[in-house]
Amino acid sequence: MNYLEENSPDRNPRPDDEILEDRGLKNLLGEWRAPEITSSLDQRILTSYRRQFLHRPLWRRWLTGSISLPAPVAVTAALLLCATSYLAARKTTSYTLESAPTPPAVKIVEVPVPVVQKEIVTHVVYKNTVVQKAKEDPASISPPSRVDLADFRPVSEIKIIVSPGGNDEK
Amino acid sequence: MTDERLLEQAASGDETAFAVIYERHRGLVFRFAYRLSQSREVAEEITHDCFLSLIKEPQRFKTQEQRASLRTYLCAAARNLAFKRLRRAGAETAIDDLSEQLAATASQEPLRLLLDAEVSEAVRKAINELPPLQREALILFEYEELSLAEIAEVAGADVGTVKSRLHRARQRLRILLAPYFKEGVDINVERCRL
Repeated sequence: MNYLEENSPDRNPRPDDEILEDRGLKNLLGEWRAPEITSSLDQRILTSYRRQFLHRPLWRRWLTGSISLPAPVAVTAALLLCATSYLAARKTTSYTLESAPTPPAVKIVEVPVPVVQKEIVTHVVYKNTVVQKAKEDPASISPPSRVDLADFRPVSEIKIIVSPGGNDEK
Repeated sequence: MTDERLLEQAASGDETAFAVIYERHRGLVFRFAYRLSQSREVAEEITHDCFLSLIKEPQRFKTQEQRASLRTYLCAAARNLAFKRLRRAGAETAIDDLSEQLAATASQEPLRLLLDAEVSEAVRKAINELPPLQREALILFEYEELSLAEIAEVAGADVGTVKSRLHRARQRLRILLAPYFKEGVDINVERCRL
């Protein structure tokens, strides 16, 4: 149906624009006031509402039930859940890494090996020349007699002879 | 919180959410039902059934959610219940248009209206004389201040039709309430009759 047909005066007479602002009629209509709602109606409706949910089967209440949470509580719970999940995942990963280098099962196999024994005896003999010399001539190694410096006279002239060879005795 | 969210919670057993929805819309539904039916008892029944059906079958609102607000949905529900009662009451008159009948009534009404002392009662009676669809448009527009688009949603009609109903309702009210208009307010009764 086009616009002209729909708005033709015969089918659908259009009101004048000014009728939407008919103050006189509006004021007159305002004289008729609806009564207030009684508290008994409120009570009756709330009672009916409660009764409706009392008779509702439990399974349906479970299926269609919902819990309302304040936004901060919901956000905190979500963050805690995320943190716990992250930590749990991390722990699982480290456990895997630690458990990776576990030694393989040890299997002991005895293999008979022929033993070739070779006995080497080493004997070291140390010769103590001083002890031996003492045994041979005990007087030669006797402690020196007491030195008396009573008649000691310093020499008037010292002649130093340097002989090469260090401490070697000649 | 939005009506849609509250309705979800109320439908799952949250009584507080239901109380908030009820508090928001009870006045509108009750007044509309009362003015349509002109009976407190019937208006209470309609209000009760309206809210309970909303909770029993919230999906019926959800299917219309894209285009309807909860208040227009509730008005439509109240309207359907009221019209059902009108039909059940045995009103043989067609709901849509009683223009022929009204023309005859209007000619007899001024004398009776003049005798009514109470303006309020006169207005009530005049509105009761309107055909239900015109009455509905007038009540929603004048008393509940719904927009023409919202009334069109409630009535399931287009805006042009609603304007037309509103226009005719006002014409008839001007005739029926002519004795109560202040002097100087020319309501063009004769023009309306023509």
